[in-house]
Amino acid sequence: MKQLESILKTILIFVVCWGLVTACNKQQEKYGGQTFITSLGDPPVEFIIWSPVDQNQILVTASEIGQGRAEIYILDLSTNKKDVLAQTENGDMWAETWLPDGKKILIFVSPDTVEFEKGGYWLIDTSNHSLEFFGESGRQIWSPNGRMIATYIVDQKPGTNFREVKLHLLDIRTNTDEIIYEDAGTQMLFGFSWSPDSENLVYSVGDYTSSNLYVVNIKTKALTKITFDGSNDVPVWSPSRNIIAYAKVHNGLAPSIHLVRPDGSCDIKLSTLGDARSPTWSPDGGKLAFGLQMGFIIWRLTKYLARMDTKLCVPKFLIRLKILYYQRRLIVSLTSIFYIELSLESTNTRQLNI
Amino acid sequence: MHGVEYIVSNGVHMSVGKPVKIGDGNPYGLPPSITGDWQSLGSVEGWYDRGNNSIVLNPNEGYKDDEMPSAWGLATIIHEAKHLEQGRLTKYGELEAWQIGFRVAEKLGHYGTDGINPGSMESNILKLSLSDNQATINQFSSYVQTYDSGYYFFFQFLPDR
Repeated sequence: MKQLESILKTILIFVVCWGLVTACNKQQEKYGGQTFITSLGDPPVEFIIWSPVDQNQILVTASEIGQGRAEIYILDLSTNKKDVLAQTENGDMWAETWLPDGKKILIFVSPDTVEFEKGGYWLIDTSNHSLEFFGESGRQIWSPNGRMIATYIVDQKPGTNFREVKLHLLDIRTNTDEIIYEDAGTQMLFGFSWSPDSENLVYSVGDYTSSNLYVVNIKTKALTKITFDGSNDVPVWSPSRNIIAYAKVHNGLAPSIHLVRPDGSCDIKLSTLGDARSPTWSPDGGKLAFGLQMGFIIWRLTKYLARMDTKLCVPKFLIRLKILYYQRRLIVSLTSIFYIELSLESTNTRQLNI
Repeated sequence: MHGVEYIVSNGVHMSVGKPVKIGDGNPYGLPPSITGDWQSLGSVEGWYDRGNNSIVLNPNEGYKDDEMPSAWGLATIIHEAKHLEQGRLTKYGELEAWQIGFRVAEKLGHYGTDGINPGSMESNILKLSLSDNQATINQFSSYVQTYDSGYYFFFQFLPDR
């Protein structure tokens, strides 16, 4: 009898352990962790922009400082293969944005880039790599519904210090153009991004000493300032939630990545890792990638998103029922744990070298 | 403008040099230097030679004696002129010269009419305050390591200020 009890106990322990391990593995698969993409190649990775439709495709700009070698390629995260879309041995270029369907990208090419007949904005078809000149000026982003284009234009009078910046909204269906921000002075735009419902736009305005984020409603033109100190740049709105990721610099020192709600509440510093830059969301809004010193990192944000989903912006708790077998008795206990365990978020780490 | 005035008033010579090649006696493809004091903006676009009071553009980067340099080439000249004016190469001096080089390149249209890309290396370096405090120098060093690891190999041995 005792032997049978001992066997049953062993089986029970084995089943419980197996269950725990399986659950953890499943959770790891489901929640992933961090992926370091190491830029071992030359030139180094400068910017990344995640595809709006494909979880596995990240658009990478790798370039030397100024005039030199540069390449723009799509990195497939599942195969770790590069699909080079454009490259130069002597020039300067960077990827600006994907078009909403993920079939084309917009790049900027410096006027002295030898492989291109002229400088300006070019569209590249990602399937056949064909090039189409798009225009000499005007940094653009398409709204997720594809109906509007936000354009940033700088008007600089040659030989003078006159400089005017304007943020336009172009309605593609009605061909109407509207200016939603303008400044004739030293101000610059440090990035802009659409909300997933295409109804709001977040943009960063300022100079090299300080810049802040503003959210404007396209219909009502209601403007909300959401940051108030330091430099707050390159805002990117989550494609699935009302959360904005951005890079913050305090006192001109190491930039860090922050998350904030569009009303300015729940501002969370996401990373203390050095030189964090160019945040970009995965198409499902569950992961955020951003540049670091030796490449970039992909970070699953389950814990942070859960916190931002709470009204008071506090870490979410989960009440868990535990059933234990101890000395021939079943013990029922209630335990509260963090919604997502830190250890699970950090253990599934892999490194890709590009 | 100040850089141009410095070049003119100090009679700084400018030229396109002989090609710099990696090989015996020059394992890193460094520019020839009389004083052991050289500099560049970007991928060895050019260098200064304090002994001869001159700035040299690298023909390997496409510069020719009979052609106007690109906007980046002109920015490189101003960058090198700043080093000549500084008199001594330091980490802080490099920050100052990089910032000047980027601003000139932007003014001359290297980044197009819309200017430097937000979030770029140039943008991050221009955000550093021109102050020679240790935190700023450390942050600049970190950027050099990130964006120009080849040059960092030499940069790390420079005095801070």
